[in-house]
This record gives sequence, C-alpha cells and structure tokens, in this order.
Amino acid sequence: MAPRRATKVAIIGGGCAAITTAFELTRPEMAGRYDVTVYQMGWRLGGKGASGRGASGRIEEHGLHIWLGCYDNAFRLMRECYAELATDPAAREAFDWPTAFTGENAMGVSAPSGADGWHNWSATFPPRPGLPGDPLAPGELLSLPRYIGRAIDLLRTLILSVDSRQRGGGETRPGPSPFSAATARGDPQRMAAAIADLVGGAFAASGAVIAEALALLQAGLETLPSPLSNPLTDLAVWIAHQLRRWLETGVIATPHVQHVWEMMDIVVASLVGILRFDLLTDPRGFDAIDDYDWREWLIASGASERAARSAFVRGIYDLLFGYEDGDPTRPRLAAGVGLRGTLRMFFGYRGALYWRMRAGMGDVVFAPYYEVLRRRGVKFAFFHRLTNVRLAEEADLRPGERPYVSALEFDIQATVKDGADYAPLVEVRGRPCWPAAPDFRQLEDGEEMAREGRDFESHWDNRRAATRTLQVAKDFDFVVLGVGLGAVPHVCREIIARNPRWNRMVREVKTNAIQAFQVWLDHDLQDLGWTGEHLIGSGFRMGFEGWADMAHTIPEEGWTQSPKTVLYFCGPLPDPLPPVDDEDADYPRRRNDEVFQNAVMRLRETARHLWPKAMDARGDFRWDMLRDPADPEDTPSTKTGEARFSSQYWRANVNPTDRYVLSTPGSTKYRVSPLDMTYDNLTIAGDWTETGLNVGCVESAVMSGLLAAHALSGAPLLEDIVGYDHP
Amino acid sequence: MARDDERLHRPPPQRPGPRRAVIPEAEGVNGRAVDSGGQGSAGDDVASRAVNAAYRVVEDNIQEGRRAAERLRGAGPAPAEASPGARAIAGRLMHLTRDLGGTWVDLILAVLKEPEVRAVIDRLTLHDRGPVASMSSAVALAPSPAMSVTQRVSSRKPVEVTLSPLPALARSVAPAVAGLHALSPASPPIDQVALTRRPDGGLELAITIADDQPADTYWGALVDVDSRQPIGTLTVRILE
Repeated sequence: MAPRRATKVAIIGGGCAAITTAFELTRPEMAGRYDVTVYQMGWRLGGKGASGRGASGRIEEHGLHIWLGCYDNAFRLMRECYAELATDPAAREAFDWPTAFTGENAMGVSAPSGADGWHNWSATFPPRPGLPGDPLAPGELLSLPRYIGRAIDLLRTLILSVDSRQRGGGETRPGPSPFSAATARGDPQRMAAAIADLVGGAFAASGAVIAEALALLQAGLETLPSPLSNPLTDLAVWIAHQLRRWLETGVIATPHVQHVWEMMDIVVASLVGILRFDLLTDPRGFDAIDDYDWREWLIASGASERAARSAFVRGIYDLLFGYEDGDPTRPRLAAGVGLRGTLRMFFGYRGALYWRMRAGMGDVVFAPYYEVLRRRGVKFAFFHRLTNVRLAEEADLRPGERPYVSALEFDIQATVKDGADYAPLVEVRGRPCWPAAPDFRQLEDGEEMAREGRDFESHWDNRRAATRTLQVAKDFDFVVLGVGLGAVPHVCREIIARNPRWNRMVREVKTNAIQAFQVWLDHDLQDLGWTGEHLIGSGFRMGFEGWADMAHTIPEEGWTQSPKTVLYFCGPLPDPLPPVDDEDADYPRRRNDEVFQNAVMRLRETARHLWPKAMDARGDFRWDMLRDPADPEDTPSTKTGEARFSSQYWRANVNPTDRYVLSTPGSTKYRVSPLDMTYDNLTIAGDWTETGLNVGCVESAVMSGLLAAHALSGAPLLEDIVGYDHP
Repeated sequence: MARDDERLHRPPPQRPGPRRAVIPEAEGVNGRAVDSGGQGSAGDDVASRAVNAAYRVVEDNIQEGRRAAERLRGAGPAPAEASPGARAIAGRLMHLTRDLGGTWVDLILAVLKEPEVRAVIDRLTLHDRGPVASMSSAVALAPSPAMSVTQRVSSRKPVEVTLSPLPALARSVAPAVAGLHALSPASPPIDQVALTRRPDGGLELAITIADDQPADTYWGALVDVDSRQPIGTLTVRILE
C-alpha cells in the first residue's frame, strides 16, 4: 500500500498567527505529516508586524512594537526558533536569544497639568525572576492568591520607588522602614504592636513605612481561600478606604505619589470587582464582564473617578489603541479583557515588564522564522494576493457533510524571472533583513513595475500579472486563513453571506487604522532635556499616543555616520466619513499626507513637554536635528524647516489587513474560534479570533496560531497554550 | 466539487473553547455545566483529585484559622500612649485582622456545607470518606462553644461589625436582634438588621446601612426569642 501523502496546508498570510501555525505543523516531531505553503501578498512576511530596511539601512516599521514580559507563548516559540537556527552552521548572522531582545522596566505616562501644561511621570517595575518563555510552574499563572500577593509586592515596590524620589523633601526618618513586617508575621501580638507603632506617628509616613504596612495586611490576606463572598468584599472596600485616607492625609503631595495611589486604587478596585461580580464562581470567568467598559467597571468596583480617569488607565487604552473609530474621546475596552490583560501584564511578567527588539520586528522575528521554516521545507509563495475563499455549493453537500472550502482564488501580483523562488531577504550589517521595497530586479517586468510605483501591499492597487485558483484535494487539503480581520469581508464574501456568525463577527468586532512615524535625531533625549529613564511612554492626545526612544536600534542600521537616536510614535487614525470606496486608488496617498501633517503638528506642539531643548528660540521644533539619509556627510542640508520632515518615515496603516483589532465592550462574544468546526477544512488564525486573550497583540496572535495548529492536527494540547484557560 | 472520500477532514479539537472557571471541578467549558451523569472515569478522577486536594488545604486552613481567631479575639487594644487618632486606626486594623481570622473560617464552613457543594463532594468522594472524616475530626479536636455566624453587611460607608461569641443554640431557637441604637439622639436606629438560620444550623446576620445613616456607634442585644434572655451583643460602628 502506498504511503499516505502529506496533508497539504495552505496558510494565507504571513503575520504572527500564520507563521506560528506553520511553525507548529512542521515541528520535527510531526515527521513531515504536513506539507505547508504560505501564500503572502507582496514581498515580505510580517503582516502588521512587518518591517523593512530603507535608506541607510534604517528600520521602517508599521508602528511601535513592544513585547511584554507576559508573552509566554510568543517568547517560548521565538526562543525555540532561535535555538533551531543556531544549530545550522550555514545560518547567517541572524539574531539569537537573548541578544535579540532587551528588557525595559520603566513605563511613562504624560498627564495634563494646569491650563496648558503637562507633567511626565514614570514608574519602574521591579525585575522578576526568570525570562519570558521559561517553563511555568504548575499554578503559577492562574492562581488568584498569587496575583494578590504579587499585586501587593508590586505596590510596595512602586511606593518605595516614589519614596526614594521624595527622600530629599524633609522626611524625619530616612528609609528603609524602621520596622519590619517580617518580624510580626504569624505573631498576632507583635503584629498589634507593629501596627500601633506604625500609626502612632513615631515614624514619618514615608513610602518605606507604607510599604511595610501593606506587608502587614498581606500577612492577613495570605490566608484567604477561594471562593470568597460578601463579607470579604466589604472588607476589601474597607481596606481601600483606609489606605486612601492614610495616604491622602499625609503623603500625597506630589503628582508622583498621586499616580502611585491611582495605581493602587485600580489594583484594589480590581480585586474588589472580582469578588463583587462573582468572577471566581462564574463559569465564564472574566468574560462575564466583557459587556462593560473597563473604566466603567472599575468605578462600579469602587475605584475613584480620579484613578479611573488617570494617566495610568489611559495608558492601557493607548497601548491597545482602545478608541472606537480611532476617536480619542471614545475610549472603549471590554472590562474582562482589560482585567485579564492588566493582571497578566503587571503580575505575570518574567524578567522585565517590556521587551524591546534590537532591530525591526521583521529582522528579529520574521527573518529567523522564515529561515527556520524554509529549512523545514515550508514553501513561500510571495506576491499572492487572496481574492476569494470559495465554498462548495450547498446543494452539492451530502446529508451530514459539513461545508468546506472548495477553492482559493488569487491574483498573482508579480512573477519571478525564470520561475525561480523569490529571495526576499537582504543583508544589513551582516544580518538577514526584509527590504522596505521589493527587489524588482527579480521580477518579470520589474523595471516597469518600479516605474509605475506598484504597491504590492496596498488594497487599492489590484494590478496583477496573472490569476491562480487552488483546488481542494489537489492543491490543498486544509486552509489556515491568517489575514487581518479587515480583509475578511473582502476575501470571504461567500462565508459572510451564508454564515450568520461570521456576518456578525465582521460587524461587531471593530478595527482601527493606525498612524505612525519615526524621526532620526542628531541629539539624544538627554541633550534635549529629557530627565527620565529610557522608556515607553503614552498620554498625549495628539493622535500619536504611544512613543518610545529606540536608540538601541541605531547600531543595527546601516548609517555611515549614525544619528544619536530614533523616536517611534503611533496611535489610532480615525476613519473618514463617508467610508472609502474600494476603487479610490488615491486614498492611501491622501491618508499618508494626513499622517505627515499630523506628525509635524505633534512634534511642533507637544515635543516641548517631553524634551524642552527640542524647541528653538521661536518655539518651533528644531527641524535641523532631523537626520536625512540623503544628506552627504559633513555637508549642510539644503532643506530647512519642517520640509526636513519629508526625509523621515511615516505611514498610514489603512490597508484592511493592517487594521488593528479592538476589544470593545460587547464585542468579544462575537469572535469566532480557530477551533470552530463549521468548515470541514478551514481554520482561522489572528489576534481577531477567540484566542483566549481576545486582544490585539503579538501574544494573542501567537495563541491563535497555536489554536489553529491544534484545530488541524490536535497539537499542541490546549492546556499547553499558556494562559488559554485563564479566568 | 471534491468527493467526500477524496477530501481530508479536520479532526475535532480537544474541546470547543477555554476553561475560564476558577473552580474547574464545578464547571465545564465555556460555562456549560459538566454532565454529572456521563462524565466518564477520567473526568471524575481529575475532579476527585482536585476536590480532595482542596479539602486537605481547607482542612489545614480551618485548623490554623480557628487557632488564630481565638488568639486574636483575645488581643488587646492599641497601646495607651499612642495618640487618639493612632489608637483609632490601630484599633480598626486590629479589628480587620481579627475579622479576617474569624470570618473566613465561617465562610469556608458555610460554603462546604452548601447542599450543592456537598452533593458534588459526596458524589466524587464516595469511594473515600477520608477527607470528610478528617474534617469532622478536626472540628471535634478543636471544639468551640461559639455558634457559627455569617455576616452580610450592605453599606456604601466603611463599617465595623463586632459580634460577641454566641453560644450554640438548639435548631428550634430563633434568635433576634433587639434593634441597633446610638447614644446620640441625632443618629436614628438601624432597622434593617436580621438574624436568620442557615440550613446547616448556623446563623446569618444581615445588616443594611442607609446611605444617610450618620457616623456613630450603634449597639444592640441579641435575644433568644423563646427565653427572652440576651445571648450576645452586636456593635456596628459607621466610620464616616
């Protein structure tokens, strides 16, 4: 009997989710059971995480990509990829673990102060044992008592960090605390004496003392079992009240301490809300509160208005672009998603809170994956733009036969000369990277395409060299649809017309377009008056809420004379009304022009609040600081003023597949799971699906990719997907 | 169209979605209850082990909690040399710790004695009476003359509730609260107070504080309705 052939899997898309599925299905232990082909529009993998190398080898990203220290699945797979690549002596100088990522513990927010002022606040989160992607001990992720314990540990550390900042302000006793909770633990008499000393005024109410007071409370809370009920809810409310009074009457005198208290308020309100809304006993877990907005739920759980509207909470909305239709006046985030996400983010991280990549995400993530997958035999069909997922006719289905995908229709955007495989990577500083534009030299009629300005990643550029239709059972057995949610209505018209659940999903699960820009400066931030640590910041209401100093990527770029730093900015981009027409080929250019104007305004009007010396004597941004890769060395530039910004990088991420998925209240229940069995040979992969985390981020996408792999092969086991079964 | 026998078919997944419940042995996937009749031996084994493990943890905590509660109930007030404000705060924090010691023990007992929870535990531990027996013996080893009372306070204001230990009462006895009054005539009595029997024989004290109830200390007697004898005192302190 002939050996059974490998199952052919067509994976559409090359983002985190799709690549994860490819990685799982082609593991060595799968022994070649799956023959995988990745069909990718344009010239590069990455989806929303794609990056390219432009002039001077500079990194040009879709936006600001930061990995969190709680991305257990994403880091685990990334580390496995690096390890596999390292075993190949022929592998080029790809990134490896842990040099590819660098930890960051400071988070900053900017908040309005006075009529026209802003103040900048940063918090440093303590490093935690281990590294993201390390194996988790049983119960480490899901234990609510562990979260509570970590919450109090974190609050104590935050308070101590504030205390060290304040210590020059007239404290009667220097830190550390003159008493220790450790000596009172387990001994009620000592505990009573310590409490009496504490509140008796013998010590100045320094941060160190407050931190030890929290430790005393933790000693009592440590014995809490689960489930809990009303008396303990009331007790938690009482604790919050006492802490608030305690701090406000003697300690809160500076914005920094106010922000610490706001964070404490949010943590305590979250714990109260978990009890008050019976989330420990509800079989839906935190999904049970997804119809609430997170901020509204916090207030309902006892958070103060000030805390619920604090820069810290707003920073979370900024992180997730949680503004409906990109409107900054309409923050919308499902409460269950917010609660689950913040618990994991702040109390589930290993190593550092954030992890920055040392180069573009394309270089650090997708180039290594591409190399490993190619070595495993995965085929890549670039310049394949999916146009339709065709279903078998309902009339042709036998009784009991599930619907299935009968064909996949593609536009071939370009063909490679001589029928060769397209070689997508270039070298910068010896490392394999994705270029910012396709290598037209490899393409048939490439020169003409370049002259025409072909944009292979644009939804509105539908020029093609050919078409291609793949048939089920002949060209593929299973399909993994890994495009962005915004593309689904365009390529799954038949499914949406026939399937009410999919129809509902594309209507209820929202997306935002994103705008982003990068500037390369000849001065570092300290030169420009920044006094804080290097960090990731948010808070400005100017359309680019998130920003980061990415100076560490400069050595990876190809400058002959390096600039001092590069700053990344990104934020939601509101959609126009009326909605854009698919035939409006000029739409991307207009929106890019709009982002240019937004970026110039952002620098001109808000840079002074972060970097006072970035402004000139007239109060304008010092455009001469911008490094133009076209300027010859040691030669003054001919461009002056804001015209110099045209040498920088900006983009409007308006392509449907690039739109960022939101988790608005009431929407998460409409997400379809990759495990859904409606279609016999189709699964879906992307952060827009029911991933367990249900939020737009790398980790969510990777979890979805793992689920899609499970849907086709039964592996990995669902309990091995970290956080999938999180409440 | 491909013939059905020509096409490959996806295998069914392990389950359709995530397990969200914090207490997994009582719920199924995505809110669907576990079919207690047709679970199969694998599911019962897992749930049984989980429940037994939880039982042992709870038993240990009950023993420790009872000892801690007794110690804390005897703890004195804050040192007299501290300022009045400091004494007040210290006192409140002491009450907090004492309430933690006492209340959660009662809570565990109340939860474990709920009929539905008992039914699940009994079904899954039919083959092994060990944990039930050891919990009973733990209770026997640490007898307390006090009756178990659950407190449910509904209030937008911070409140302290202090209940003196109640003697064990026969199930036929119906205790009642003879009102809660403050010394100041400007503070009206708290009327919404009820003391009812739980199915397990303990008591549930329910207090509702109106939003406009003045901050003050309110006292009331708990009375055995049959004998008309006081059996305890109840103090409710509204802190602001």
